[in-house]
Amino acid sequence: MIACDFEYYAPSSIAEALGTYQTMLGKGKSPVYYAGGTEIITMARAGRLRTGAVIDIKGIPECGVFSFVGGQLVIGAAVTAGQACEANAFPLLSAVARRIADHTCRNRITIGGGVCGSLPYREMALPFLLGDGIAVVAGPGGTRLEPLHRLLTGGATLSPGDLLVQLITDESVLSLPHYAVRRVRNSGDSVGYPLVSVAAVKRPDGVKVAISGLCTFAFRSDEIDRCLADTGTPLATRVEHAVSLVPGPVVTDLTGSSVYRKYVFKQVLSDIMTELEEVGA
Amino acid sequence: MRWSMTGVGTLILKVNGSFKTVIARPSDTLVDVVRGQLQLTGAKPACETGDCGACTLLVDGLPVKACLVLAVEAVGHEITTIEGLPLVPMQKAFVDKFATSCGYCIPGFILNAHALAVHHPDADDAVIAEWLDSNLCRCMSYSEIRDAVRSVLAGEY
Repeated sequence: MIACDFEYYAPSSIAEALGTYQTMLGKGKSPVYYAGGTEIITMARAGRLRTGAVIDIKGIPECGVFSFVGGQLVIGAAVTAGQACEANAFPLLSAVARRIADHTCRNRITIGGGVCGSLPYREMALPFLLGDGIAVVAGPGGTRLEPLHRLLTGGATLSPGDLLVQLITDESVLSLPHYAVRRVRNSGDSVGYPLVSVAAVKRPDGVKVAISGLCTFAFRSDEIDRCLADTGTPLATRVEHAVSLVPGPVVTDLTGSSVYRKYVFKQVLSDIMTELEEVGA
Repeated sequence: MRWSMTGVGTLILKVNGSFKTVIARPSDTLVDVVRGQLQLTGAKPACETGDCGACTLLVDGLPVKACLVLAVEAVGHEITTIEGLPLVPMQKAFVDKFATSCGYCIPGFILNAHALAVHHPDADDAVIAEWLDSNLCRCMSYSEIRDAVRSVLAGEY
């Protein structure tokens, strides 16, 4: 049971959603956009989220899009992880999403929630980071396009009231060789939060990786990619160097210490590089 | 606005093929409403954090954890509880394979497994494991449950 009361709004357009947000904000109701609800309901039940209004975006047509447009794959923020896996239009996204939570939860967890939620992992963002994903963001000033990596690493921000509408990825990314590895504290626990989660694609100029769990944010680093692409250097040396290029403090929490996370990260990178460097070699 | 709900009010839910009127708050979860107001107590409120699957219901034929769905969201959708499932092969298989154990988690397991059989009748062991991963059984009847699902998918029922 959720102890607090909130109002529920189901807008049918982006303009209605944005307008409702501003109206509720003006009334001091701390509104939140809502799609799958897995995080909001769980946190509200635990008393860790207090809101006076939820704005359900599932009825907004743009948020439910899953289609190819002009050589690009467009995925609405309210598309569920389960829908993405079943459609399998973006195999790396399927591979990553299939490891998040469990199958039934994935029928509710949305792509937008996986990217914008308050949990730091944001694993759903990894495939889009590797695909130079573009976020379609609607806000009071209109609709704008933002590179997803800037939203996740601080180069740009979602302001209160901004609504993530869609994510766009170039179609050429979808067929790249890829690999995704997720390590949790207990190997028998398939649904826990990750110690380290890494997705990778092999492009003509080398393997690119996107990383979650290591820091308090999901990221992709050009420096790490360049380091890993230096095939004239032994793999073990490259991996060791890559760890030193992580762009923030490595997390220590109950799941694992920073030392252990770095150790796991090295193993994961080695596995990925071994797997992908053989592709097409 | 498609619609809104600002306080305690009436919702009309389609549950097991019939329209039912309930009184709910916007923040009431589906599991609390179907159990508390419709006396459909097959769905169990166990962990209430989406971990255990004991509250699994079908919404438009797909399994969801009803502790993670607001009742207000379910308006306009087809809700199926274990009470509304006609006698399907999966239920008989659970009995025959001794997969019922204490029974607490079984409604969720059966609804999930039934949906699997409907959506993926050719599911292999990996797909079966992926779907069944959503439910916990503290009696540890996992192998019996897996056998029951396999037997249905193999056409034994």
